[in-house]
Amino acid sequence: MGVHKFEAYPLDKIAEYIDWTPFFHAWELSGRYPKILQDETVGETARSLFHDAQAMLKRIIDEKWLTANAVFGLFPANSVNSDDIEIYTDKTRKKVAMTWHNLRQQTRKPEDIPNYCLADFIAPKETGVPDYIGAFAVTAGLGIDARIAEFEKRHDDYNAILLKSLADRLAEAFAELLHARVRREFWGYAADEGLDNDALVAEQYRGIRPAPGYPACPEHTEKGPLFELLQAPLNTGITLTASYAMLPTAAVSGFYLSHPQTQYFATGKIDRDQVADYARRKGWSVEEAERWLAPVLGY
Amino acid sequence: MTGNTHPIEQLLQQRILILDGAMGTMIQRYKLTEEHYRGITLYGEYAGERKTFAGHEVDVKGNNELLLLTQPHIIGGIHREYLEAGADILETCTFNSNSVSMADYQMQHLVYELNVAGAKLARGLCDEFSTPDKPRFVAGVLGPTGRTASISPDVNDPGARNVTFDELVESYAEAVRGLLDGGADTLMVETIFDTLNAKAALFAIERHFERHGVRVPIMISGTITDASGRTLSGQTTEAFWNSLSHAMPLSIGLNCALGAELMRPYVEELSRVASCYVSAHPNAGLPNPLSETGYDELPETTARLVKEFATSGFLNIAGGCCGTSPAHIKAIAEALKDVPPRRIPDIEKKCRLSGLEPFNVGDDSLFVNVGERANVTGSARFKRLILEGQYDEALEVAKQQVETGAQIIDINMDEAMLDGEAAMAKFLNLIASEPDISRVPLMIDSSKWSIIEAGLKCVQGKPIVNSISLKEGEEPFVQHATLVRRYGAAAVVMAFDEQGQADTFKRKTEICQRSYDILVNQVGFPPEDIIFDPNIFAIATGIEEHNNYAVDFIEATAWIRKNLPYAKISGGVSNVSFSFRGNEPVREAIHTVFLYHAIKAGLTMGIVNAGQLGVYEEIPRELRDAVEDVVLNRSPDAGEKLVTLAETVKSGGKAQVEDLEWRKGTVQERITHALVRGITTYVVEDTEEARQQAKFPVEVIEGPLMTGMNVVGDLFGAGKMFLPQVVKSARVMKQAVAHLVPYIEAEKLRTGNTSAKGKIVMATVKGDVHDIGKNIVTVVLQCNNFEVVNMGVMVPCQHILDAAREHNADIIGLSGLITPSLEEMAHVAKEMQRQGFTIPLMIVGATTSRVHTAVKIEPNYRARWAYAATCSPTPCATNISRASRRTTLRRASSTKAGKKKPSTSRWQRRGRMV
Repeated sequence: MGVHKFEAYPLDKIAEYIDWTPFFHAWELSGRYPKILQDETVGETARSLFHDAQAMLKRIIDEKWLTANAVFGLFPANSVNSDDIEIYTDKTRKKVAMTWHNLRQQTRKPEDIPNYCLADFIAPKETGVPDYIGAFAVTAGLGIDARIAEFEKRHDDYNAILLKSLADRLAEAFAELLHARVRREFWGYAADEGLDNDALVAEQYRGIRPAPGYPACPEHTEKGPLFELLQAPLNTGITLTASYAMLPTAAVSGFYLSHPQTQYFATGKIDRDQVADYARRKGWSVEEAERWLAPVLGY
Repeated sequence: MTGNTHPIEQLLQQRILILDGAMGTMIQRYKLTEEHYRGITLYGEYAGERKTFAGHEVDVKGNNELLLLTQPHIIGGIHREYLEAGADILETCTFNSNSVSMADYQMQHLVYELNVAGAKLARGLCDEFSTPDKPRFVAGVLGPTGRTASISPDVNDPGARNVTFDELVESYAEAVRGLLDGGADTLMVETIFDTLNAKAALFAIERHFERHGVRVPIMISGTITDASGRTLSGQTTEAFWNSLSHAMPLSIGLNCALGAELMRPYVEELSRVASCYVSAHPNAGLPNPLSETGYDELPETTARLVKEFATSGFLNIAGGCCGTSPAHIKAIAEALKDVPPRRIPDIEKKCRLSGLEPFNVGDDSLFVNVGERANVTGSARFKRLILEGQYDEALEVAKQQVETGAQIIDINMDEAMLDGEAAMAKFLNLIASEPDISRVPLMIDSSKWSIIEAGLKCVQGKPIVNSISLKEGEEPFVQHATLVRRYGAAAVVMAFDEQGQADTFKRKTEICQRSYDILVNQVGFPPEDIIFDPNIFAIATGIEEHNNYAVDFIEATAWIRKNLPYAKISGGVSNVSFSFRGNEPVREAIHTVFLYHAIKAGLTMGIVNAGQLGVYEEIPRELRDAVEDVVLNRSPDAGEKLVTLAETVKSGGKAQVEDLEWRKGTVQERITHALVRGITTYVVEDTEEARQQAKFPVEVIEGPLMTGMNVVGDLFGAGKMFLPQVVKSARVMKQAVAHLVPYIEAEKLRTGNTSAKGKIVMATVKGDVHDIGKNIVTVVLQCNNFEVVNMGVMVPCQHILDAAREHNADIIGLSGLITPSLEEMAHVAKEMQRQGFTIPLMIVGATTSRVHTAVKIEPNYRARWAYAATCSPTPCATNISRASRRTTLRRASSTKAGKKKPSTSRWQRRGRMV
């Protein structure tokens, strides 16, 4: 229980967890790594890009171009009022450290398929089951600005973009690594899990790490209380902008859910009734709620 | 057959057994009426128990199986005649006693009862006729049903099916239960015109055996429907055998459709390939509509023809099908009395696969190429075609591989955005209707068992499953292997266990040995159908423990060949040269040398890029030795040496000559070459040369540089260059422009002119910090001679608008990734309206959408807007070009504008996505 942090985590360890497929997507090369390297059409380009990326990655690691920090915490938690998750300061479950407000799918679905909400994966308070939740924030992008400025000064957009895309991958890899360590060591619910990187990329493990702003919990402001809960700016150096974007950009934050049946899903469009309910839960006016929920409004 | 030899098999070792003749055409002779079939009118005299179906809603005339309940003495009488004629094996009158066929009479509820009755009736008569010298046997007949699992009922929809594998399995399962409860000695799956139906029947039988702990001999008989020698579903005789041999039948044979004369070559082929007994029960010649039963071949003719089969050594079991009578059977029995039975030949153990045609892989087979393009994880094009539902074109991908020599086609639908099971089934069903593809065996490739299983239910041939392993422990491994076997497939088995993927010789061989023992001893999996993949990993990575990976694989291959009899070996070859990516000559040499040794050690098949394979002897000696040192790990510094040598292979010799060649070209040629190849080395000197030749410095941009960039644009538009290369080209362009800027500035001061196509203020909006895409767009726009003021990230609204005024911008571009940025963009638009802007506004970013732009931005800012789906150069440039058509871009001189070819048009060719 409580909050733990890692400062200047070894980058070579993080690099082992890189999922290269999205790296190629960032460069508009579609295909799955490593097969993309042999692709008839884009293979040659992909190999050349990968070669450059490997060379730069080596320098990033050897010359410590970037600093990677992380913080995570494990907390007692229960779901309340169907869609909210109360996260408690300690085991007595008396004091609420934050309430994570979630949205529920509202589109019509076949009868045997539930309308999911992330709160479904945490035991309801009234069951008396002592459930838990994790929270995390990682970055691998500290120190990037100086390097980017150097490249841009030399009119070298190629390397500037390459560095940004690599930093993004490192941040994602760090999130994957930390999640694995949490499952196996710190939380320990999957101590004997033995998955290689391909299996991790394929998300074959138990549990998910949804991030506010992504399809399962599309509303960004939840990052605010999350960052407070973890003291993320202090512990990692990641800050939030007025629109709740993280800075450095090469950063990932979210929650850990461990129930065996957890799965990612997209919230999809929601209706007026849920928007009104969400506004009430957040203490917002409906207009304010509509502003933050603009992308998922179903009307 | 396991355990003690079944009595029927003991007899088969001694003589040719006689099967009975036709049932259907014999019943026709009785000229029964609807009332007879219903049992309302009794035919002849019969005092036993029987049923009537007076009130049944639909006509039942022609439902021969129903006679088992309503006129059992007719069926019994025919059986009796055949037994008297000398039949050793009596076929039950249950050809249509399955729920699919009985649905025609709305009598599905009678299926179990009919099968029990059919078997019981034959059982009683066989017991009555049996003597110690001549025991009689009941073969419980399972007909083909009236539907086909691998042929579409609709010519306009080749992927459609009117019955599924699962439906057939359940239908057959019910019939099997009835036949065995009624006392059948064997089960006979006959008149097979669609092999997939037969596979479903065999699946149901095997499942019944497993669930009930019983086992009886299985007899299989297919139907060659015409003189082309194929089944209705298109398989050749040997392919048919390969598809069904997994059932380990007592016998395989042919019946119906053709008379004996035309059936001969196919019976001959079966007798050559089958490792079990062979049967034939032909029709009495070809149909003759004028004959009472439709057939008129005389008993002595049929007997003569069948005897010729027997004396040629083709036969173990003979009988008759449509049009034959007890007289025919009697003649056949007499003719074959003294002819010795076929001896089952020693069939070499091979992995015997099939599509419409057989494909046998033995220990001494040549290396087998597996086509890898029909794979959504490996081919971007295939993935797009499948995701967009363009199955016709996806089929072309599969077809081309067969045309270019793939002997097996790998099919993979593992994509998160896909319903993998449905996509696999749909694609395989479509392949089934393309004989040019389906002639070869398929490799059903997935990391999800459910997708593999969905695929197995659609394939009439014998495919390969790719893959199963001990990754999740023994229980699922055994379960999957048992099912692979039951579906009639071979399997790739990865050297992967609970601890992970095997990397060393020790781990590879241990896991393969363990897998082999479980498969062969516990599951009963034929060793020749096991294809091990002992994992090919990259060598010369600079990490010491990787140095021996190739040796470990090759030695494991040799070890498997030596210690695990009949097992095959496969692998993904290109992995091995991974650390030399970008250096094709060296990679090719590594693959060639690796395969040379791996094939020598016994590698059977592999996923290789055939274009990347050379000839071992033709590799230059120095390179070959260096590569061989690395592949065979002959010295600790082999990797480093090859890396050094690789540099010279890459840029030395031939390459240097080429270097000199392109440097000899004109300034324009050199600049174009540098832009296309992304080479910055000489760009400043070339640009300077061009500037000295030009009247105005700006002409270098509009002339040589733009000409070169247009080539880049053409190649990009044609899909021959990709974003990373284009950004590298841009780097060359920017360095050239940077060299020219001081001269242009000086010129501008002198003349007051600017030559840019237009000026764009670009910013990532307040609150957002994402700018990779925006920077890419900026670069590309700059290359297209737009002047871009890139304001960076988190730019407040008023700063953007101030900058636009200050720079006299022609367009404002807003970018953002996170969703709240949409709101900020709408805010900027509103402010633009309020502050009286009229210039176009461009919206880009991953979360933006055309709809959002139209609904949320447009009402706020009525001047002009353009939207781009992503920050890719294509749509942006397209939209800018559209937007700019609606506004007046400032140009240096109007005379030049007319001549200038807008480079954006080049980019538009790929702009379909907007």
